Amino acid sequence: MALEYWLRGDIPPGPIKAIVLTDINRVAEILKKHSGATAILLGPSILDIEKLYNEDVIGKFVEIARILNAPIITSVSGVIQKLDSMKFAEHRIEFPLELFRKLSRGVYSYKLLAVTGLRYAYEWLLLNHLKHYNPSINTISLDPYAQPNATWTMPSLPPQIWLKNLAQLIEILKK
Amino acid sequence: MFWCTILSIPYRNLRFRADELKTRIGDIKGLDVSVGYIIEEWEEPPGPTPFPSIATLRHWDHKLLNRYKPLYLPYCDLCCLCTYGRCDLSRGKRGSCGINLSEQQSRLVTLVCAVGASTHASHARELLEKLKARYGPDAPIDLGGEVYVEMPITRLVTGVKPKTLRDLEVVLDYVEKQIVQTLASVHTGQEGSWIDYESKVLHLGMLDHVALEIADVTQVATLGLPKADPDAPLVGLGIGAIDSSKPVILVIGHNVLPSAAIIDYLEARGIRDQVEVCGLCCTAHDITRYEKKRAKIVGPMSWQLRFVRTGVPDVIVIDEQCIYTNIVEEAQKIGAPVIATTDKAMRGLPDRTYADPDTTVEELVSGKIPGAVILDEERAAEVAVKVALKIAPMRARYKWSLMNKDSLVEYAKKCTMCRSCERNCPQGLPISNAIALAAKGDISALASLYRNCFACRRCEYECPRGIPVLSLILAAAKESGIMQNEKYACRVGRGPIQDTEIRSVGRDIVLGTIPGVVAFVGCSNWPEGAEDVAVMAREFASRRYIVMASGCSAMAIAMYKNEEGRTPYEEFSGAFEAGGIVNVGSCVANAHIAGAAIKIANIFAKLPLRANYAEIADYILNRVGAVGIAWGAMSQKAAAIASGFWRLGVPVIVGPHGLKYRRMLLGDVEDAESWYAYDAMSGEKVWTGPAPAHLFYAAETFEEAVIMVPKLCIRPADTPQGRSIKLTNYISLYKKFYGSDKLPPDVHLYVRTEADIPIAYKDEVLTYLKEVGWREKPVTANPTLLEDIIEKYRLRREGAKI
Repeated sequence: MALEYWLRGDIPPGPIKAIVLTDINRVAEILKKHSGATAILLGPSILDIEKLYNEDVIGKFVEIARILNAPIITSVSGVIQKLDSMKFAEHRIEFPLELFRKLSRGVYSYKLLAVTGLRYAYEWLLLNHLKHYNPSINTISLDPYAQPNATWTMPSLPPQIWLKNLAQLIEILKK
Repeated sequence: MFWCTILSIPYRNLRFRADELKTRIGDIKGLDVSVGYIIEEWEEPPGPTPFPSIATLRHWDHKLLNRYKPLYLPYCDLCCLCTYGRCDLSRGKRGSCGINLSEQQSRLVTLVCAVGASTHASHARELLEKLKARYGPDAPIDLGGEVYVEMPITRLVTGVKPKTLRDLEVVLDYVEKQIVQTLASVHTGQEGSWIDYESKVLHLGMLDHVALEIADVTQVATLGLPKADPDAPLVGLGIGAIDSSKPVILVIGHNVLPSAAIIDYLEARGIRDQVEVCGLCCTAHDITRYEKKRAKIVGPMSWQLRFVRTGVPDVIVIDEQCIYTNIVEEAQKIGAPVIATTDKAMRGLPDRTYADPDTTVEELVSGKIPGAVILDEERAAEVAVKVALKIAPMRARYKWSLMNKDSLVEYAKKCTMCRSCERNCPQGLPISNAIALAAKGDISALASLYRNCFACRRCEYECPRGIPVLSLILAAAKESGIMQNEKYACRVGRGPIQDTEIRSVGRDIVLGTIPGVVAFVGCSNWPEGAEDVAVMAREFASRRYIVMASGCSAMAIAMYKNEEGRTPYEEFSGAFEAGGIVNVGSCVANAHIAGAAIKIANIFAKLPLRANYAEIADYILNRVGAVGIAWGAMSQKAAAIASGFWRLGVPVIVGPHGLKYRRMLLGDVEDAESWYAYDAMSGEKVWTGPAPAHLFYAAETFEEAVIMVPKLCIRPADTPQGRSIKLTNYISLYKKFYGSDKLPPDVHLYVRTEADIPIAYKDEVLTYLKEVGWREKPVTANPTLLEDIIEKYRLRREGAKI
């Protein structure tokens, strides 16, 4: 997996930073390890990526969710319409802020939250809340940009390479 | 026998009242003595909390904060406020001074709100002192024939019923001293509890609202701004609305005095038609409130560089707040001088306050100096007009001088696709792709960025190839005709709400049959452009909510036309009524939005207003379905305004950038205990449900915000009919975005009895209620969080005047 030297936007100076996963096999390992205790959160930017690169990104996450037996949580109408059209029933409509409040206060029992497509700063701040206030929940950013406040993050990558990695991830998970 | 009550000690003044005093010289009854400022008596008896200090309303704050707990979102894991640090506060660690991460975040929020409140207080001070000097301290506070409760916030907070500008002095003194006192708590080793920091945030918000009210009422009362006029005129808004064939004076900021002086100068010389005067940000609102006809609004604060880079303005006059810090540098690029008019924002310019105006004009026109500080409005106005008239013909080459398509394409070809611009864009705009297309001659993608870009220029600073990315976006927008077509109609800010309007709708708001009051306030850091605000306003006005607006958001509402080519201000009435869109005016006019909520409690419910803060706020929280949306909130002032609404019991929704305020106030829906209140009549503890569910909430998407609005308008005191109407809106909006087969998963929490269920969704909701094991819940018309209200209600029933 190619690693660009930069991260996106402002990286706050802090002692606890995400582990950057440069090997897609390691991403697969983490997801498999938490299989059955993972939720996938999809944000609105995923629609922008789909539109820009004419790729079925949501479909890829549905595949990942099916393999991991994980629900997809989202509050984006476009994503919900697509999940409905794909007859993916394991999705839940929940606003991200309310989700993170519940995660922080131990309402849900997920061990891993995989996040993609939230606005960069919005995601960065939500992840920082969990990092400090409920570090028992691991988080992994599957975004095309590194998220320093997740437990693990994929590196910042050109979207085309990121899309290839997603496809590769699915193949590894299927094995 | 001696009964004496100390009613208030506002910082240094003392007041005491003796109901009955027996002395050697005789019996005295009803003695009321004030030392210092003499409080004007009015028909209401004195309330319990005049001139509250930090601790006075702490019990109310703690009630709120125990229900709406902070969710902290640290921007940074460290504290570097003192030389002990920097200290690592991550995961439960404490800093050298003992502070932890939650306390540090709440301290920063306190600091932010102190900055905001002091900015409004300083603005109010400047207006008060200057207008008092001009119109005399005895200038009356007259807000028109239909406004009898002139300053509801001031009355509620301080217990003062001001009649003249002089009466505002003691109120503003109080605000300033309390801000200093509260700001001091931020110092190392002062406050050490998150809940008390948060209480201070609420205190600052309340002080901020008093300052807002003083500022706006002072200018409305003296400068002839509209006085509660629902039919305030429409004025032109947008870059395309500006007549660039005339000399153009651009005013930027929030303080109307220099701009008003420019209008006066032009009028006095009979040359008003010869010069175009237009404004950006709140000064634009207030100049149109002042002139009501010819002055125009360019747009919100994020339109500054858009407009400056068109080269259209000949002179730029800045006053205070939200002005680009390097506006002088930008102005120099288009050969336009800058005149700074306040010592709060002098931008390194030479002081020409006492210089001969004609000499200063020559210096500015010749380019000898890039601008000047002139701290006297009349002189600044004279210089601005003379410079505009002289320099305009010399600046013809700059007008609409944005690059042409060929130059744009040449610049785009320089791009190496490093995406540095993109990863530094706070909006996450797909700049690289747009530039790549532009390099091939297709500028449409670049032009489309114009909608979402707020001209921060971070892309330009980061570009290693020196591509002026913002200028490329602007040029593409010009080449595509987008900028020139920005021509809209905005209703002039009307100021306060009439008492008669409150009487007409107060009952329906409290019963819930008007589903809510939605106020669009705050800055222009919108995630997807201005149009979203307009679309939201239109949606809720169409649903018979009362829509209010102020500041940059009030401008955004104008920036959208329906199929008939009409803006929401042309489509909906300007009255405070169901389906009205009410532009109150600039930031400081936010006081009238808070004031309307207070007046509902006072005029409709007849609750005592005088220094009776907690009871009124408790009433608003439990019965007045109002919510604020600061979709593009950016500033410290916006934070202070929001916190004033929280203390008053009004929830606020911000856009995704609002999460950067570092703290949300969220209700815990799963904690049933936190949703209990009292029935003020019976004293029984009753479960009222999560209504409103949150006090401060950052929505990530447009649809999330739109769905959250009706939910946060739900109040425990809704009648079954009112609740049914509110749920109709909640459910129908949820279905609109998420599908007709879906129901909000928390709808069962808001159904108390079957009578609450909207008829249109009855079967569906009943089925769902069965699934989740719903049980009927009590309905109370008199919910309260405050134990002492029960006793007050009992005494009032017995005829006591309290």
